[in-house]
Amino acid sequence: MGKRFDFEYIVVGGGPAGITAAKQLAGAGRKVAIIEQRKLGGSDVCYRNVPQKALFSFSHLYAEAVAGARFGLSSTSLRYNYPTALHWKDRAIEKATKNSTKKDLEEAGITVIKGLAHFVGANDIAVGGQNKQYSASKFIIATGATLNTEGITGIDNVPYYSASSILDIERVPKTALIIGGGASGCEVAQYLAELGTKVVLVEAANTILPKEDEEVGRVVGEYLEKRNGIKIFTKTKVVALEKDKVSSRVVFMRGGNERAVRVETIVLATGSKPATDLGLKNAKVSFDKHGIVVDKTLQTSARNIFAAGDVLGGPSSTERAIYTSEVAAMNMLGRSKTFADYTGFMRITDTDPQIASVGKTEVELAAKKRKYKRVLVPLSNITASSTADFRIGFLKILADTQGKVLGATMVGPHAADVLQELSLSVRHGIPLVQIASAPHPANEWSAIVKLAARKLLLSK
Amino acid sequence: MSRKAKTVTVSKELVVKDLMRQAKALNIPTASTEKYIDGIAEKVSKWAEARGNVITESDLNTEIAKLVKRYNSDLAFIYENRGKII
Repeated sequence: MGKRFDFEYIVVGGGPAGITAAKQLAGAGRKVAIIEQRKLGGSDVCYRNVPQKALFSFSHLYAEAVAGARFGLSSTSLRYNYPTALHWKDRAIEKATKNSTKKDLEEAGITVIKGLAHFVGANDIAVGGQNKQYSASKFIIATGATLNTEGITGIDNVPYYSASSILDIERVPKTALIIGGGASGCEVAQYLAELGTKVVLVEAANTILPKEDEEVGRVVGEYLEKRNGIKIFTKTKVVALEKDKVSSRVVFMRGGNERAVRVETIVLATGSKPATDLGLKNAKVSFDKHGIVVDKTLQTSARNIFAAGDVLGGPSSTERAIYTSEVAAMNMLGRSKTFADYTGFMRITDTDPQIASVGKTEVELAAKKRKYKRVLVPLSNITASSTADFRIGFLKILADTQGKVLGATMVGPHAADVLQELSLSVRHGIPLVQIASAPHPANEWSAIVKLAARKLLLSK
Repeated sequence: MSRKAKTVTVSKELVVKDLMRQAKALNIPTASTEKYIDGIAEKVSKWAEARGNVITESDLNTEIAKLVKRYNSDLAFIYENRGKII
């Protein structure tokens, strides 16, 4: 006689991945529960991407207006109201989560359980705060990722913000040091600088944005320094945080010398690590520092448990989280055997100018010794650059010798929107010649795609 | 039918006692360990409380090892391999 479980499926994590999976499973008529410790909607919606986009829109607009004399704007009396901006951010989160409330999920037939989940067996999960245990036939783990704070001494004793929590700071700091020059670090550094904070950005690698090709870090770094007044220290490793009666101090190694700087506010943008602290060993689920180990169908080492979203490791994005949860749910329902395919997913950095990349970088292609052709076209070559008075960005396309797009990177306004057709090309193999021959509006940013495609096709 | 792992009761005092005992076995000077053991035990008991105190011994050892590693790698090794060393 089979064991009776409390639920057929339990989804651990109420972010975009968890909610998508729960809705799909409930939509198939299954008895589903979702367990979430914090706010439904997840980090992306409640603490990261949505609040960031809302506040960055405000700060970029303000910075553009301040620098708008060339368009005829006068900014001598221009000010911003920070509490109003925070309220705007909260409204944006409210709108983004309106279909992910407890009521919406319960109306969809999903039981919502609040608390911290912890596996105590392959079919059993305890929930902290409720002091209850639940059982299910199958599970999807969609617990996301948390801030990685390893390797910095003194972190327990010194107050700091993450790239998410800095968005809730009560007043704009006078000085700030951002540890980590990746996408999050650059975004937050620019945001604070635009609001008037004196910012230092520290990165251990040779360049900021080390996951992108070299010219991205160089171009964006120069812009952040010149336009936003950010001091950038690369090849600099933060070794300790200290606090005395006066302020916080950040100790770092640069050029073999140890130096320290006093700052009012410290922001850690040191990357994230998958949230795997949920008793996975008890459920016989394998994981390592990169995330939960899954096969191509997103099944873990425990046959009844799948995983989706940021807990798998890899680049973090809402669409990737939703995609993996759809794949996992479909495979769990046994309706198909779908393999997760991440080709064509974009990496986006929400600085101004925006940075968007898809496919392979030159570093990745060179590492695999793959032959490719390359074109890099400055944005100053198209009309939109003159009408918007923005000239520093570029579009780079990498293609194989047959004209198949292998990767692309853009630094410029609306980069993610412009790059969408190249994302389509990377994922579905649309050849460059079709992109080059398709009509593109002559006075819009997308004109750069046609220009770059043609240049690459004509190159030897 | 799945087997549930056996759970243990976590208290700050028991964690401190265990850590001090292990540190003594490794000849780590108690003056230095006392400084951080109390802090670690406090964090571990909060961590367990957040999970409704439904924690297995393996979970507890893993969490202690993770926190101790910042201060003493030998002591962390003991907790990482508890139950495995003969």
